[in-house]
Amino acid sequence: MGKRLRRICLYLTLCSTGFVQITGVVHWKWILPFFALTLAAPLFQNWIEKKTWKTLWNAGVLGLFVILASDAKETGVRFLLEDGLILAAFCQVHLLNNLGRRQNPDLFFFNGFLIALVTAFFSPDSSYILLFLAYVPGLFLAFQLRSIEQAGLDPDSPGTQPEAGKALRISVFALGFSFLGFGLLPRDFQREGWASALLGSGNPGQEVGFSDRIELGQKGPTKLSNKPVLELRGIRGQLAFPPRYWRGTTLSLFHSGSWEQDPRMTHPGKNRLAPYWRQTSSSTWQRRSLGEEKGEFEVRFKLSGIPQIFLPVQGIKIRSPMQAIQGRKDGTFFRPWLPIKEDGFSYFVTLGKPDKPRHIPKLLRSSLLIPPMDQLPPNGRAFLNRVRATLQPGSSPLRIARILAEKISGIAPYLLPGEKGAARNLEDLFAGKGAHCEFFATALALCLREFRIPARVATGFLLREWDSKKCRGIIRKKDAHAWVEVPDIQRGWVVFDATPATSSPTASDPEAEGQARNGILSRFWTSLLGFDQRKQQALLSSPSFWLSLLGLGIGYWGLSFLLSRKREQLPLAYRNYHRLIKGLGIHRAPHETPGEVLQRSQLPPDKQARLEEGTKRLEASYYGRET
Amino acid sequence: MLPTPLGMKALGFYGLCWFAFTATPYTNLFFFLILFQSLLLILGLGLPHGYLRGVEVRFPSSIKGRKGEPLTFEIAWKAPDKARAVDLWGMGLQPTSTQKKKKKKQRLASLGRGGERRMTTKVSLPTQERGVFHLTSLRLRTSYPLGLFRAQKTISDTLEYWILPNPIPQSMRMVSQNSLERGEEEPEQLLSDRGREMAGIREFRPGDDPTRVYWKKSAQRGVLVVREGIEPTAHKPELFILDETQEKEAFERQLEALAYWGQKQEREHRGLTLRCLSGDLRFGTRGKCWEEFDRFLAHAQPAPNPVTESTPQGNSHG
Repeated sequence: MGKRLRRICLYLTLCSTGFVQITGVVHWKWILPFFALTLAAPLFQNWIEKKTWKTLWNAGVLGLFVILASDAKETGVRFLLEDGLILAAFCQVHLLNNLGRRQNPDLFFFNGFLIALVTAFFSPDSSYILLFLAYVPGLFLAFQLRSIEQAGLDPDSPGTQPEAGKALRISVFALGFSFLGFGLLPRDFQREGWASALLGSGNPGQEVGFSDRIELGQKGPTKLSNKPVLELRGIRGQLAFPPRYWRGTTLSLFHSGSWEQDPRMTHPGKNRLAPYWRQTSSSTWQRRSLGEEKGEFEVRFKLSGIPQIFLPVQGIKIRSPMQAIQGRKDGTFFRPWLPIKEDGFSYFVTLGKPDKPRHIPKLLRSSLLIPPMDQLPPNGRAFLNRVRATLQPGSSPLRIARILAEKISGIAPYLLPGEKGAARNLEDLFAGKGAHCEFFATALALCLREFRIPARVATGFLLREWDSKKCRGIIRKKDAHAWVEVPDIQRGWVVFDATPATSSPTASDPEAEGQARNGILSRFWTSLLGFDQRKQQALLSSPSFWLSLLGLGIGYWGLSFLLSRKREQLPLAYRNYHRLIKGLGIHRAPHETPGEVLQRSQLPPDKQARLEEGTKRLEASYYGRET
Repeated sequence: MLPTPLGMKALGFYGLCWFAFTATPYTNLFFFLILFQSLLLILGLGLPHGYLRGVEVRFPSSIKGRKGEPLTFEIAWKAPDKARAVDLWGMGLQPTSTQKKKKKKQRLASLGRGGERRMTTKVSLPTQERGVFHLTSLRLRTSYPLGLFRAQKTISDTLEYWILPNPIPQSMRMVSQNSLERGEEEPEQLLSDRGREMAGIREFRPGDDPTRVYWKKSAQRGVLVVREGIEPTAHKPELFILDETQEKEAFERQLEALAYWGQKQEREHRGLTLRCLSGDLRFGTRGKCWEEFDRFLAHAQPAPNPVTESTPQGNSHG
């Protein structure tokens, strides 16, 4: 690796460390030394071949491994990603400071690209695109130097310098065509991937997602999928703070660690708790509300095959222009049939303040209190007794629910199933082991039932990504959530969420933060992430897209034509001569003089005379005299 | 079009990325980066051709070297402005550690960038025995600008070069061997600085060329002495009898002496008659050109069944 290539590699290392930094996964205390070691690389250059340097450096590498290993031992797999990114960034710094003159930097290139590839999934906003745009020309320049080295030449010697302009042009070309292919190439946006399908079929609880039943105690690691499920678009009204909880199913029966739907509640029909939903047409339902409507959303399904209609508790009207919808007795809605091939089913939800129920029907109350007792583990009961002791006599059910939710959310941290130290049953949760939302919701619902407060568990989605300026939001598969709903005679169904908010899997969702920012790049980033089949079809059917593509092509051709003309700087006489020989069908070999062309040409007399004339004119212009 | 070592690794990396992409659920960013990699490979595959187009190499009409010395010759490049990082490869004999020779691909020369003016590059090949050798599969290659794939074009099937014997006079060899056997120092240089054989030294006489003063001996003797060269005479020996029945080593020594005499005769613009089994061959004045003499030196082989017992050692000229 020569001096020039080392300089480019320094730049690429800065980019790689930058990629890691912008994910926000790795703490600054790790990143800063890497930046320092990268910038100091020119100073270390002379020591690379020395044994003392190698010994010191390798001792440092060993030290880093020890720190990372002990860290991993303490924290488990929670910081596996951070440790991995630290190692990857350090690998780049290590290679930069240790590759000798005779060693090739191929590993360095691939590790750098791998960092760019992996960090793409964790990068919060458009800064990734900016960094990638800066990274690509550096990569091409490094490749140029490598190809010069491969030809047995020294890239540091004069006459073999890389061409930055060429690297930039190739970068623009490669990126431009990548984006073009990204927009135009057909693909399956809903593709699961064979590994996911393979693993998923063996264990349905592998991926976080919406479910209409809950089974506690599932083992095995889970992952968070960014796949969009619902796309929300505000149509009218005050939509700065849209409802967060979008309910799909309610679960009332708890049995052997599982929550299931109560068949009495899931039958189609009038809902049990007032205000009652009325069907005004096959695809429209509404209920009484207090005051005016607060706004309307269009909700579009991004995944097919889901019969549930997701609705917040503030919903007062629901209509679907595409398909009939059916209401259930628990106040949820569903599509009675699913089309074989559906393309973006959508419905409209109007928000408001539903009328007061005024009373809770007995059947509902009894159904929300079964099974009766003894479902809590002993340590759960002890916890309950402790909470009971702190409650003031005569506290309202809602107040009790609020206090319980607060207390339960504080007993354990949030952990996904399969993570090290994750709870496998309620006893583990009350013992302080981390768990996911279903555990916290179960604990709260059972505790409430112990207080004889009717409660049910609802599953659905949590809205985390909402752009209040554009009134658009997206709900992803990973946003699946479970919470508790308590009926109240004044407020209807009241939501209580006992899941620790700060440790929620996407509490600080990077993409949501990215969306909140303004600017062309942010918009570009958002559209890149949210590009789907519908947008692709819209793009392909848009004449302005094809016209701009045509314009770009013409512009590129025109610019390169002008530049080539300027580069050649051919005088008029030369241009005329070239035009003439082209017209006569003569191909002039490189380095062939006009005289030689004339000598070898065997043309009919008239054409030969024209060629002679043209050659004379050219020579006259060149030498300033007739020949 | 073949992948370079970097290209091979890149293909492996690309394959792994595709594997991961098909294995996992679809994501836009992954798809974009896969596309970018695909385009990188396509560019790597297509671009080098443009940098190789129009590049030509001219070799010297005859390439000759001396036994025991590295063979060096110049090649002329004719390359357009666009040409970059082009190297010339050929298949030739390479000495190995086991003293055996193996045919191996080797880089002969490299060109940084093309241009209007004609550029020359020195090619150096390792030392070889006397004989006629060939460089085969001569190809121009470039992997510029991405270094992932190599464009190549064959410019010539074969290139012949001759390794001639080192011109050493028989007398010097004998003096040298005798002196070394007796433990004496190396004999004095037999050829003067003007390339003529030195007959001896004598005292300086008025009218002598002052540049021929032998300063070292003058200092030793205290009087001015001059080098005395063998003056060209009209009756110089012009016949060399080559005994082809000699064993290989002896035959090689004869050729070295022959090369010496040939060189000397050529320098003095005179001819040389070579008497061998196939008859008399005349080179130089009233004979074949000296190029033919070199061809003979490179191609000459001892007779298949040498008769060692009846053949006198050495050779004669006179």
